[in-house]
Amino acid sequence: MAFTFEGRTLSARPGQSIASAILQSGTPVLTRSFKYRRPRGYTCGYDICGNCPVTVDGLPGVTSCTTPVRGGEVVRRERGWPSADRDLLRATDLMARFVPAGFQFRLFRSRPRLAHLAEKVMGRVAGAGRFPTPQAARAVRTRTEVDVADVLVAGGGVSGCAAALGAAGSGASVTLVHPGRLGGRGSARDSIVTYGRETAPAAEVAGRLASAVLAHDGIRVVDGFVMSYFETGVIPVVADGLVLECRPKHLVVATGSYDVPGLFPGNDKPGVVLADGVGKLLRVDRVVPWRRAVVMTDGDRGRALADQLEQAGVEVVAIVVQQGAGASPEPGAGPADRQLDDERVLLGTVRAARGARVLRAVDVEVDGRVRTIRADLLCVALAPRPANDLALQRQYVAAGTTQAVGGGWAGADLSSSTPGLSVVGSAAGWTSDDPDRAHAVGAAAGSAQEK
Amino acid sequence: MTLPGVATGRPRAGYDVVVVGAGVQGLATAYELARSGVTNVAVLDRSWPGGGASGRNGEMIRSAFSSREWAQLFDLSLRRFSELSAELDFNILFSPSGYLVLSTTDEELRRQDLVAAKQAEYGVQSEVLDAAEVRRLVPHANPELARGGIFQRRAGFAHHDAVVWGYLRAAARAGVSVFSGVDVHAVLTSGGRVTGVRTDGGDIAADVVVNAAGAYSDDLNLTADVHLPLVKARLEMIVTEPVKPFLRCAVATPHLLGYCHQTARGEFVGGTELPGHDETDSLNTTYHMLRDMATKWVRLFPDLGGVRILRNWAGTVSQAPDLAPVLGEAPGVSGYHLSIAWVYGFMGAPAAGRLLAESITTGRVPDVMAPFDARRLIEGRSIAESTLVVTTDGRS
Ligand SMILES: Cc1cc2nc3c(=O)[nH]c(=O)nc-3n(C[C@H](O)[C@H](O)[C@H](O)COP(=O)(O)OP(=O)(O)OC[C@H]3O[C@@H](n4cnc5c(N)ncnc54)[C@H](O)[C@@H]3O)c2cc1C
Ligand code: FES
Repeated sequence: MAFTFEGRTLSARPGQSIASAILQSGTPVLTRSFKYRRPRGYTCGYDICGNCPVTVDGLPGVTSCTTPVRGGEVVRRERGWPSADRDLLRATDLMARFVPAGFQFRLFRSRPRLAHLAEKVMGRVAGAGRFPTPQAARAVRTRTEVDVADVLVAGGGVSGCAAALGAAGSGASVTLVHPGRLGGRGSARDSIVTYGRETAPAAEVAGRLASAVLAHDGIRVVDGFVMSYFETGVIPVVADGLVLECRPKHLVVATGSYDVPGLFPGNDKPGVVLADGVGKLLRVDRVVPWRRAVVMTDGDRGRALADQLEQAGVEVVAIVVQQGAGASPEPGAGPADRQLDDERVLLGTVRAARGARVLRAVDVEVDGRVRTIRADLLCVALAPRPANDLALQRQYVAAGTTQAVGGGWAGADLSSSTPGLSVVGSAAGWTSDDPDRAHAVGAAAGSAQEK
Repeated sequence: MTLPGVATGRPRAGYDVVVVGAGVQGLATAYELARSGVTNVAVLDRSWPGGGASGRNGEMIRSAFSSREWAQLFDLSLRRFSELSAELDFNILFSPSGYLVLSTTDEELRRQDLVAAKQAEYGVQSEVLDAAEVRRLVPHANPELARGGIFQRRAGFAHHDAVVWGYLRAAARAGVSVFSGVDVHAVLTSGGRVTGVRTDGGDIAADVVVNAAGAYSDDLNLTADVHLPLVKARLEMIVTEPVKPFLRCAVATPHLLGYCHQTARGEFVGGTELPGHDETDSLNTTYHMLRDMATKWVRLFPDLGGVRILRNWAGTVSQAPDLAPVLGEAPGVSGYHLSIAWVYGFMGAPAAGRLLAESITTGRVPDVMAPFDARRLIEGRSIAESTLVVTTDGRS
């Protein structure tokens, strides 16, 4: 398949994302940050970070990491003048010291005319994207439809698929919503999972669960995402050209986890990529745009990612096991100690990602000394955070006050406290895939609807 | 994190003036009091400054209204907006890009000349635009809905947080103490006079209390036995991802019950209403309003069809039957002043703060403020204003 990228013809395999094809062609900068015009590139791989919007056939703001190449489309980058690669307005970033956050409130405050002019200029240079072309705007048509399923499952990873099968197995009607192909992050990870009587790699189990879901008459699978829970009980699901208005009796949240970014200067540089984004590029898109990698971790994930990278032919020059916050405190029990035999392992801290436009090197502090390690990939493999937004929001809306949230939901037992709501898998903070347990939760939700 | 200008520690046992509510109204009033020499002032808010409607509104500013009362009050405000950045030493990002009230129906088109003539009579300059002129001003608008309009060139919008922060800092610099996290439970009175307020941290004495409690102003009134026919109402808005500038001025469409503008960053910001009040103080957004907004804004600007909504939010206000604010001393309780029932309270704040401070410090009610006295509601008089983008549910 071929498509046009800024005048060049790029090729891609069916199913491959637009971002991966652009990366493969040797272009790491996908966009520029909004205010300081910093270069940004592929980071999360799962439509979370917002660092990869492109314009496709005149429609701006298309997430390139999750949008597959269709063939024949015209793709261009946004933001950046004259181009996202060489942005002259980059000056704003280089002068960041002189234009600190909030500078617009100090500027021209006693010169109203100048302030108004400055605002117009800022408007011209800041405006991201482009306005959709009239054709593109008119091509966007959204119809609405009411969905009457008893159980709505948000997320079609290992846990979501298992829960949907559980619910449908007990006789409930089920709608399962998932963006893109079923399987979730499990399809790009390396863990071993047990489901029923079988034990197999996660990707295999995910594939089997996905096929079972697709083959099940009682499960409607929607390619889209769950927008949010509204106070009248309606849960809109946004799909291509369609908004499904769902009013399920039970909501199962199986939205997985988020990768957590590392905190160091330059952590937004193209070439700094979160663990699942790396896994997805290698396993799902099957693209290897890197040569030398540094992996940063606070646990066991680093080793797994390093192995995946080496299998793909990327040289892993260091695995930095973060010291301090998040690292395992007990000597002997921590992953660091178990990994000490591996000469790639450094017990230290990532201090900075370097490179003018894209990542060229990583500063790592070990025993008080900073070493600069050349690399074109810094894979950030920290412990993920549950993606439980939908469940929190469901509770927040039910409570109806800001005070309730101010009091803090963190650590609340999400599944037991709200009737009509269950949370499974990584979204519930489960540390490993447990499709049997998710299946049981789904079955309980489903059979409750029968009575 | 506390905002610069918010006091640390607890309020003292007494002040000359206690203002309830650190929204734009309360802060503007406190600032103007301090400017006229009354600096022993405390502003108390249960939440953070600007956490109410003042940080949730459409930021739109105009004075081209159809009634003398509204036009004169808001024209004073508009003039203040153009001075505020310099005066507060804080750029409030006031953008005098113009404010267009669209005409869609035959009736609206017929009335435009009459409305503009009245505005001229009140000293407010506006221009009547025909379809071609509207088209030149807002080329992306659907011509079926944009058939004419009244354009006020000096009007526009400002950054609502910046206005709150600007007033907050300037008031604090002048000696006012602004407290966040203090809940006022009641207004204390004795023998028809205000004596202070009761808070979750104890009583605070004051000879003057200002009610600027936004959506909750009626609840506060009841504690002082002041009964006015106010209702709470929830309003909702959306903001899209940024796009290149396509809309220069602020636009209101009475026909669609909507108001919108595009920020300097490129985001399109708009709110709509449906007939009937949404009488609640819930800050949840609703699906039917999200749908209403998406549908109406794409109808007015078809090219927005491909642009994504980034966020939506809700805010709450209190409303009088005639939708005009209530400004001045409360009937029956001397020393208890009201700046409440604001539906257009962002654009009205610079004038209201100044006028209310003047009436508190001099004891004389300025002419521009007099019509907004609370007694009109008790006596069943209303101020007739026909260019508002708010539903009236047929009561006024
Ligand atoms: C969606 C929306 C769009 C709008 N668009 C516009 C517009 O375009 N232009 C315009 O001019 N106006 C607009 N408005 C209206 C405008 O926002 C309000 O009229 C204005 O902000 C009112 O300011 P305020 O200071 O009176 O109230 P608020 O900003 O609500 O402040 C009241 C404060 O009082 C505090 N408080 C309440 N009770 C107590 C208590 N008992 N103890 C302690 N503290 C208390 C609250 O915490 C709050 O901070 C809009 C409003 C909304 C919701
Ligand atoms: S959203 Fe595409 S890389 Fe993060």
